[in-house]
Amino acid sequence: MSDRFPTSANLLAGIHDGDESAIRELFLLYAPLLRDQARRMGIDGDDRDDMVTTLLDDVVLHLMEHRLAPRDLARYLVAAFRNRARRRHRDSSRRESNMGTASSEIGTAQQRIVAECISEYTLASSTVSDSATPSRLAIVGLARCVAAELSDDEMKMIVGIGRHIPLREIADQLQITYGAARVRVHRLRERFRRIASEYVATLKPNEKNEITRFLRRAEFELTPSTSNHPSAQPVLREQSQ
Amino acid sequence: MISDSDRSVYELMSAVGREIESTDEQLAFQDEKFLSWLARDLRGALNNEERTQDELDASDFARRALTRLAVRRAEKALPRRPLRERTAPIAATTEQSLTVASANRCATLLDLAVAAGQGREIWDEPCDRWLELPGDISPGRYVALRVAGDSMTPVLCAREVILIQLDSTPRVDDLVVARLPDQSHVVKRVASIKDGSIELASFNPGYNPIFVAREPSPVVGTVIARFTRG
Repeated sequence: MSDRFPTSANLLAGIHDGDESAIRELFLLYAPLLRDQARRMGIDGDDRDDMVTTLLDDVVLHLMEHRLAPRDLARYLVAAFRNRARRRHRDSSRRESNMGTASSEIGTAQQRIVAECISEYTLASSTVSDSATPSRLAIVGLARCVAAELSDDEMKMIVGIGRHIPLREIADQLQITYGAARVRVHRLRERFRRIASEYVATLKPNEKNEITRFLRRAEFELTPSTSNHPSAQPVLREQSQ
Repeated sequence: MISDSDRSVYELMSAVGREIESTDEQLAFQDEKFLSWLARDLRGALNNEERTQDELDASDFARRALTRLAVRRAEKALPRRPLRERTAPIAATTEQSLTVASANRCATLLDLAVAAGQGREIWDEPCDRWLELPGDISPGRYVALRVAGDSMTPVLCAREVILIQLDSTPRVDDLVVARLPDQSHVVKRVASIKDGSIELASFNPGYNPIFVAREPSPVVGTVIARFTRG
């Protein structure tokens, strides 16, 4: 937050009052966050900017007209954005399937050519999804196993690691000391190693390759680590800087 | 010492962490503190070019948001009414017929361009049409003007008629008819009133705001109704 709007409550109050600088601040602070969310959801380019601007536009209008005051502004914006992105993705999938159906049901050759051109265009312009690629499926499966076993704090930690958040920041979010965070990360790594080993054991050989591909560079196999001491430093952004 | 195997496990953990985050529909593992930190971090990570572009986009965004709100407020405050006009029973200028029209529950109607830069002196215009005042408008000093130009679209379109209450005190967000230093008249929204000046803005983003001195008051009156031919 800026000096003028030190908290989100101040920012919201400014927007309620139609303060132009508060609206600017909202955009400056949250547009990068929402663009990042969009990128993670596979939305890029003009679509991404349009979606971010439209959402912020609607939120500002609602804030000014109805004096809504979400308690957690960042969570509110991210949740709203994700909902819209999912809806958009659903609509796009539905459109694709409708186009496909339409082209197969049309009788004359001329009509079919037109329908197929539109259908091809729709398919080509829709976001390319990598959800069906084998490596992604292996990661999805592993993520499911991990999510079933880890505590909430560990989940926050692993999400933080996925974001390359500095360990000090993760410690701050979990309200623990930096030293304690290092110990926990170390334990998490060992637990993760065990879960991954068990998961890999359940896979077929070709699926197993997809997970070990991640680890191939180090010629590492999913066996218990030899470095069991917490001083083994995690590869987090803070250490690499 | 970081072993290669540890590094690989972290890479895999990182991939799994991103996957968990992308399917975390309830945002259970991303609390407000985390997202606020992330927002600041992402903003801080922008390069100079991106930062400059964001500043420009933010200013545009804020102006558009305020205009959009003003449009909605004006649309709500000024419902479109059917236009009822008749021939003026007397041949006179606007100024001369004000009192007579008011006594007949009418307002003098001028077929005058009110859009930016096209206005002429209102009071000396000959007036041969009157607007019949709707029943819910109390007697008073009014003048009706036919809008020209597109600076106030979508709220006021060309050929629509607006009813102006004369001698009123303008407030922010009011639509007003104002006299510019070059003697022309414009209908605009009061965007801000500061110590020495009034900012008059258009709804159409293609027009720049106009700043006029607050004293002597340039405001002829406030728009209180709009009429359109049924």
